[in-house]
Amino acid sequence: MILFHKFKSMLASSMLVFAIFIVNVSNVWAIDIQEVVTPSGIKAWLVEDYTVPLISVSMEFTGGSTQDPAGLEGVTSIMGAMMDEGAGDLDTAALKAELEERGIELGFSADRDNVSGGMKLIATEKERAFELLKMVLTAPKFEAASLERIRAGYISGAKRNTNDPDSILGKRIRETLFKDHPYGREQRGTLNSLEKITRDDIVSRHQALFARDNVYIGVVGAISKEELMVELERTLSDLPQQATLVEIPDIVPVYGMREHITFESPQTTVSLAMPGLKRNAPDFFAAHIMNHILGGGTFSSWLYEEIREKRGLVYGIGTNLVTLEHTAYLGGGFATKPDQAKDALELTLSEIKRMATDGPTQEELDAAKKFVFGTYAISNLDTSSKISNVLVGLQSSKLGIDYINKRAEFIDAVSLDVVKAMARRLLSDPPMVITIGPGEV
Amino acid sequence: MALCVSGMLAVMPANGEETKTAQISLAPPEVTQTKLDNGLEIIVIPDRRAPVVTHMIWYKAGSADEPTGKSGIAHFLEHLMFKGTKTVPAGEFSKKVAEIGGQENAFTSVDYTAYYQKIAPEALEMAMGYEADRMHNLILSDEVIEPEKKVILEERRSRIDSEPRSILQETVEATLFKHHPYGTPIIGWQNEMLGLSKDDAIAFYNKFYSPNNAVLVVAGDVEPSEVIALAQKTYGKVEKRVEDIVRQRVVEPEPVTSRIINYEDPRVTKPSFSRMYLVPSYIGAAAKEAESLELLAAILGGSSTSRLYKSLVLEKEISTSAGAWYQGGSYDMTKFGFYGSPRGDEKIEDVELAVDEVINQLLKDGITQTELDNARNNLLKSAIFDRDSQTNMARLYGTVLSIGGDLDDINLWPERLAAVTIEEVNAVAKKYLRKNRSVTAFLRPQS
Repeated sequence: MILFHKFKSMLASSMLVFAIFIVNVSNVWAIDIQEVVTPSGIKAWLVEDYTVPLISVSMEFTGGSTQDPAGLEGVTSIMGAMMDEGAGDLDTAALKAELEERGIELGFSADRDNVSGGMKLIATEKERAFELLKMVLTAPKFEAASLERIRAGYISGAKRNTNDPDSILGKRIRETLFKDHPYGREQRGTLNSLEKITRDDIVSRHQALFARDNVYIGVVGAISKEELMVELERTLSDLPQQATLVEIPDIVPVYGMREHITFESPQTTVSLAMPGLKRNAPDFFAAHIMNHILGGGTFSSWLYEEIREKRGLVYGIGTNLVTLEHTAYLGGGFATKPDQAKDALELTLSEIKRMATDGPTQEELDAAKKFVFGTYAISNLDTSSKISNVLVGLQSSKLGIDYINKRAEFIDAVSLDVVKAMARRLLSDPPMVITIGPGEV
Repeated sequence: MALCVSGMLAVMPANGEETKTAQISLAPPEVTQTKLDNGLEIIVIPDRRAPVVTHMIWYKAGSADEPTGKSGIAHFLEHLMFKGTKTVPAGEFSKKVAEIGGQENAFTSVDYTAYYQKIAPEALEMAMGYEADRMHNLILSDEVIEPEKKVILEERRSRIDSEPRSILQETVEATLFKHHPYGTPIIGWQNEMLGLSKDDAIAFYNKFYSPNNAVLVVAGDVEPSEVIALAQKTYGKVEKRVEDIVRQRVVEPEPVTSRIINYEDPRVTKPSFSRMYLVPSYIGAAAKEAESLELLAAILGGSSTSRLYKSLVLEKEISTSAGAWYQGGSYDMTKFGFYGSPRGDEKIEDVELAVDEVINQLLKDGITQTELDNARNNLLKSAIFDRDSQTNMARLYGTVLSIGGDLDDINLWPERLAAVTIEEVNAVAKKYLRKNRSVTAFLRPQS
């Protein structure tokens, strides 16, 4: 047990998703990204590095739990969890034993918009590791016993969620913001849907979502371009050429509603949502920098300063720009002793209003720009697996292989007027506020 | 505390035996160790892959070093260390770190308290300057004490009161350690937290925060000689504030009873079982006992190929999860734990029975050579993965040194692991996995 000074993952429980890919690569450090294209057209980005004898392979297949057929919520998530439960001629136990014996970490998981995963391995194991990856991708067993075991775990989770304030709150936020859009559904399934899922459903999800035209690949470590080409060609050649994806519409949530859920607990949790900006929006950085000043993840944001530092009303507080494939919003929240919730909420709303009307000072903006500029290497580029994830994210967000160099210009271009205008645009209307706790807030 | 002293280094063949996989040898990292005249220990771990450096200062004082009646003061002080000094206003250090895109945090455990920044190498001197300053110049006022006390009380509500599992855990630890201060929660008992004062914080600070009771760990894109020069320039100015400290805590008496704790909470929907045994840590154990316990935990329940997982989850299909762990990295006696939760409508009592069956089987027949080899290889291989993260490396060295270990505890760990025999693992199992050394806990829905 270790106690951290500050919440490690701010708002982890009350927010909808954290699929926020903060693409703010610093150009103080150029990483040498090579594009690899195999003879049959499979693309990957590679950073060769032999300092540590490891290889990290990240993959992202477009199409996640939003692709769940109606009534079968959770099927894609279960499929992801079952990918390493036996493949090819290896049953669950044999596959896990071999991965463990060789020190290969391999697995996949589904989120809303995609199924992602990959492997991390010691370089000497690469030949067999790619063989195993191929088996997992193209011939997963989806054994009946595994399905029942994983289903049982999901059902326990779903039951727990019905009595857990953060899960109840999360569900209500989803329903409120997204209504009957796929984002409004339960990603890990409901008690009802989980009972219905069959092995055939899992197999069908796998066939639909794992293909060569919807995969992004990033590789870092002790492997050459030539070796990687051979391995990728071999690994992915048996996948279908095309994924079968249902088109998901974009959704712009409606905000402004206030709601309280009564639940007996020692703290009241408060969650807010306001309009956000998608990752590929041209003025994304203005929103990103504004969010950083208001409630970003340092010890000096407005909300941290006013509500934690000055008044001690909360342990963790912050805001987060949530960017998904088909929507975006600015979320925020905190938990506090029930009799302090009203004060803390009023202070939060007044800081949001101050941001919308006055905006930050030039000094605050300059500091925020420096942070956003410098944080990338420090936060995202210090381990192989973080870098391989970045390579995938840059590709799937269509930011381009030269994005790293352009990034400084994007940040530079954000003037005080631009940030103020962005704050007015996103924060002027009343946010959605949903609270859960013993009494009304 | 969640660190084992697993970590790193040369992965070598287990006793030179043949294994199915190729063995990798990885040269030990080139770690530089030195000490300043004021007693500050320094460790530098170069990692030049990215222009990032992790700067950590570790104080050899944690919640187990608190005076009686002042539980939570180590952690409270950690929070108050961000409140400014004689020379630096509150928040300035954090602002400087944020301005360059750096990350920072601090953490408190039973044995140590640490502060860190992850920054660009150019900013290392800046961070060292501020960190050295708050090693001896902290000032506290009532205006900062009161809001921050509310913050830690809120933190307690979030971490403990809102989590039935944590409420139970707190009692389990207080029961397992009936005399030793490891039984006191790091965050503190709420009644005592309410009474913590500025003077209590300053007293703890003056007693333990001194260069000769601290370890500086710098990992990343740096030159060791430059780090040492910078340390001299910054930390070198801080005078020894106390005489050298030898930690002498009360000794936990040998346990003689098996204890059972039940907790029902309306927020719980699914019961779960756990058990902890009192065992020695790496620091306090007789030769090879800690390594043997580490291997025993891996064999019993360290992964999805372990005995517990195979038996309870895969074969009997009565659990959704089951496993075992050993927390070797502490200064005094520590914990060896088991856990399991029932699948579907299975009974929690049956999960306990099945765990006992696995334990008893092992006590009766012992482990096999294959199990030992696999467990050892897994531990060594995960150590290689740790090399990929400078932050993990810095934490490993910081932890080992601040609980009184030395570089050999890290460097020789693979060899020591390799030298453990079947008989030695069987022996620690017999010696320590006795129910009268344990506390068993059941978390249940409100009946």
